[in-house]
Amino acid sequence: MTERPESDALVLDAAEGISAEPITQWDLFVTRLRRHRLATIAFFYMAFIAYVALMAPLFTCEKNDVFCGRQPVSMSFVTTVIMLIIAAGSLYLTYRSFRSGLRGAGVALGAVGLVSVLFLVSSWGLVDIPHINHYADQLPDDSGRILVNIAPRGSLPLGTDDLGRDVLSRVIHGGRASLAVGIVVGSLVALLGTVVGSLAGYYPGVVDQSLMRFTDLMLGLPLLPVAIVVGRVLPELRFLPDFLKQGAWGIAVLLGVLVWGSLARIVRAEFLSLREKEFVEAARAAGANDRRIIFRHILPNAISPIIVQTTLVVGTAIIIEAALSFLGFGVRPPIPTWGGMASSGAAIAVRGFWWELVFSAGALISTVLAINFMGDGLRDALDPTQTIERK
Amino acid sequence: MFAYIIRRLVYGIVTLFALSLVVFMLIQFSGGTPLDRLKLNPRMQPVIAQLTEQWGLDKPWYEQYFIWLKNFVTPIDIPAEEGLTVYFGKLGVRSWVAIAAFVVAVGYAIATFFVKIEANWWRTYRAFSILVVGAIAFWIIKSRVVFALNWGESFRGDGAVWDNIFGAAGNTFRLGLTALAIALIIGIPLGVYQAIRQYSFFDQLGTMVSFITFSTPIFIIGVLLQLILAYQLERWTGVKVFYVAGMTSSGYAELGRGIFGLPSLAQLGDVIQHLTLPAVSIAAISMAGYSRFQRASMLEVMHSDYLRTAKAKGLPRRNIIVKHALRNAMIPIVTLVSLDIATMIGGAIITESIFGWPGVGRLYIGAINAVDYPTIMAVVLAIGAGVVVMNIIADILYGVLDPRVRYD
Amino acid sequence: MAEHLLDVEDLRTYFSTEEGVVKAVDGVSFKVKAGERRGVVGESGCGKSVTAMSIMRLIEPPAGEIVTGTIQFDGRDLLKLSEAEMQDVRGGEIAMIFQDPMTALNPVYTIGDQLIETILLHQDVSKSEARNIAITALDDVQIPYAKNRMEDYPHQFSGGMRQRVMIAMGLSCEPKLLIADEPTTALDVTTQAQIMSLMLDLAEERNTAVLLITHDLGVVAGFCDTIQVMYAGTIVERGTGDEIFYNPQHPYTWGLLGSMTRLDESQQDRLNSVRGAPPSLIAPPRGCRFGPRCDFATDICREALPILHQSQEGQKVACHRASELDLKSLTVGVSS
Repeated sequence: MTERPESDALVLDAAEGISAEPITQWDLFVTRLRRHRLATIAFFYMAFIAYVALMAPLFTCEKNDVFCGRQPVSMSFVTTVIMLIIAAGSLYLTYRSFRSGLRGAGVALGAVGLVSVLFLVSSWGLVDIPHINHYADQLPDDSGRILVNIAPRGSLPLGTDDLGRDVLSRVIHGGRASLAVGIVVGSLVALLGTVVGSLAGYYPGVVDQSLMRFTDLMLGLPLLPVAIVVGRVLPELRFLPDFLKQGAWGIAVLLGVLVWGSLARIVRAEFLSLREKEFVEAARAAGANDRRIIFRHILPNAISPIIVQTTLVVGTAIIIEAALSFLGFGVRPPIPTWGGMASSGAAIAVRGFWWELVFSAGALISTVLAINFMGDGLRDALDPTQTIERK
Repeated sequence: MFAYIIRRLVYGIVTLFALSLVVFMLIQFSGGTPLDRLKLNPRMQPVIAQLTEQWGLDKPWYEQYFIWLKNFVTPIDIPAEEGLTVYFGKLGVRSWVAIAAFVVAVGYAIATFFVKIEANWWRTYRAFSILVVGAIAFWIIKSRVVFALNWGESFRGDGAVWDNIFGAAGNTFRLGLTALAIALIIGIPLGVYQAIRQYSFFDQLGTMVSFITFSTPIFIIGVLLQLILAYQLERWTGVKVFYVAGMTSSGYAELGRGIFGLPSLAQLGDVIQHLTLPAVSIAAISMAGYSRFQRASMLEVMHSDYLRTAKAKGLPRRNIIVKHALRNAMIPIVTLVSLDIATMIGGAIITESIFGWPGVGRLYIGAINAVDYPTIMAVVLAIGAGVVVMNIIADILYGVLDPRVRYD
Repeated sequence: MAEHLLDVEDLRTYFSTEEGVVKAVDGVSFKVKAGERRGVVGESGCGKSVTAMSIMRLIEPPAGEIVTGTIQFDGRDLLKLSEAEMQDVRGGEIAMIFQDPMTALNPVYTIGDQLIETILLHQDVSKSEARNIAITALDDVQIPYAKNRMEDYPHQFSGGMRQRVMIAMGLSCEPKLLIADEPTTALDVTTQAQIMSLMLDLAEERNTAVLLITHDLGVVAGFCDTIQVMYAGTIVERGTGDEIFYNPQHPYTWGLLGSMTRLDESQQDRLNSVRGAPPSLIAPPRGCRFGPRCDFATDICREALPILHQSQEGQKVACHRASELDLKSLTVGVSS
């Protein structure tokens, strides 16, 4: 046997030249996401829409004051300042994690979570109709005539509608319904779909069979007709608490309860394949209990399809809410929603007053588009091998 | 296979049952009773007593539900001659076509029972006969049915629910099938072309347009089509190209008669003028979906090993794409389209109310506004049954197209 | 008729990626005689498969492109043929068998359909004649009940059986050259030898030359007349089986042989391996591409790219120090 010069010491030399810090999954995710230009833009656009809708009472006009927007109505000064600080902070954190690839998905998730909580808090305003009523107020000019169907101009950037209300205020406030629907549906779907899918995928036999039959049942419901019935009777349902009857909340909960089925199927399929993997076997052999295996070993590996599917469902839910409002079975007037505005805007657009329709539709389309781009970007970033979706 | 279909049907019936219960309860619990609402409707005054008796409106809700359920599945006796006249009143071209189609379908049924053939022509024939059966179903729906169920009278006082729904279903099918045809004829080739020319300018443009269309709610597409292609086009050109409401013009009958009871050219033109915009607005979103899906599934196939084998065998490119790539890439699409047909009918609810199209969707919206529960229940269940049936058809088609699939 | 069936000259096939241009095949030249069995050996990513795909002209622009070179086959330059002429060559004169038989057949057509399709494409026969040829081809690859199995779909066959179908398809048009790209890698060890000898016997009967691409030295040892070793897109050594196995001239070949398990080497207490990983093909190392991993590299190896030249021992080798090194005596992997 002859010696080979410098044997084991150099085995790792192929790895030289790579920086000392290891590349984490998070870095890869951020890199891929940033490469997906449109998704990045979509993220910031959504953040923008979210903040504007969140701060709606700050931006829009108080009674009779065409030029201003100085007097926040529904929130106290202190609340507003606190919310602004939190919002700015989470926006900054999101920005940082994008910019430098900060380690730990927690930072960005934390930011997203904060924004969501803020939303839920601020959307509460929708319940409290008497206080936020300025978007329902008609704008009179100096001589007291109501400014009906005014085309966009300097002081009224998006014009007024057929009742003389400021379209800009209404577009901004309309976003609150859409985003409330998006967030509630997203959370409900992620929660229900993941729980049902995981249980069905992890416990074969009776649990799996019964849960999946139930899922099939939910998926078999014709979504739009059922949503329309519920939307119609929602304000009259006897046993519901008031806040679910009015505004976007009831609709959002309804949609969330109706659309989790597809995610449950996907999660179940993930669990079925993952639970057979060697690392799960190894964990089981090491004495991990079911809870630990599910939460520590399987769920983290199934997280990407959950995120992607939830994002796509949110887009669908926003469209359905808009359609319900368009048909008159969603959020009831005078609370503005983009769908409702498109409906009344379409009626006056025939006479040439195009702005209400165009701006509400534009806001709606761009928001859904941004969400779909985000879903697309997330899909590419989280799972570069997945190319198409199958049922 | 047979057992599989039966099992799926049973699940479907359970789903429909749950659906009916949920919708029924929702309507019952929404403030007041149907009776209170009926009293507000002047047209219903004379018949309230009869309706109360028929539907048990003064009884507790669960009893009402069972009365409704019992009625819903009870057939009405129709004199046989009357039913047959509906079909074969005049033995025109349509009747003969229908009879021929029926013979083909029965032949297929008998043949499948006794013969087991695994040849290409046989699979083609099977797929073809499924289409024929679908066409017969369509035809039956269009010309009403010999048989009827006791779905009761509408609470709005506009006649029997069964007749209303099947009258409207024909109109909805006209709209839905036209939309489906448009979506398929444009969407699928678009996706294929994009996949073949991946990353070309056209591909990127197509992806972008699909994405935007896909993210646009159907009512915005409908409203914009009305504004631009109907109102503005007429304003600019002075010619009425498209209509925004209804299925035909009021003077339709005076537009001449074609041979064999078919519509004349002028009538056909009138129908197209009315049909185009609503059909396109339904088709647009499906089209975007199909082209995106077709592109993805085509790309997956184009990168597969068996396509490389086909190239290495020396097949011409055209042959590779048509025979090998398309055949495989169509399998998931067929499933998607079958499921989409049910969704399209759901989507037609919105389109029909925008374009004043007298179909099931508009019937449904009217019924919803009046809380006319016999009609609501019937429409929801009809659409639900459509979803169930299309799901089963999708699974069967998948098995027909993909030899690897076996039903357990 | 040219002297050689296949004459590849200075072939360069590059792929453009986001990171840069990958020089997958970078100046490869070799000749194959009619009926010869040539083994092509190397690590994964060394350009073996890309060479084969280049010969078949299956490199898809815009991602990949044959930059320069000539591929003379049977007196014609394949790179100058039109696409239509090339289609006649593919499957008709050069057939190819791929690594994974599980995915290489179209799942929605019966194997009969797929065989007949190939035969009709390249031979002027009627449909029923093509069917008979197909059945004979299946018989030849020892598929039992060939006639009945014509109507079966690929998923009804096992992996080994599918590879037999692929071989039947490849040889059904009596090509002059058969390119087999790792034909047995995806199969069970027990069926590997069967399939390999079946394929080579059938090729010999038809006087078909075989270009056998593999990373498994054991496979080429038993079956090939001549062997060429590839490394990082270039050929580093070429010679007969005996020359390569018993007298390797290139340190890389020597290292590869050292990493083989051999049943007759019972005293050998540990397996050797070639240290490090293959170099980047985007920016290959200066000088000899194997230099950074070579235990014997000197200054000249870091400066100049060695070219393939006739060594004193008979085979061709691309190593500056081939004449100085006596690898045979450094018996790490192979003793003679």
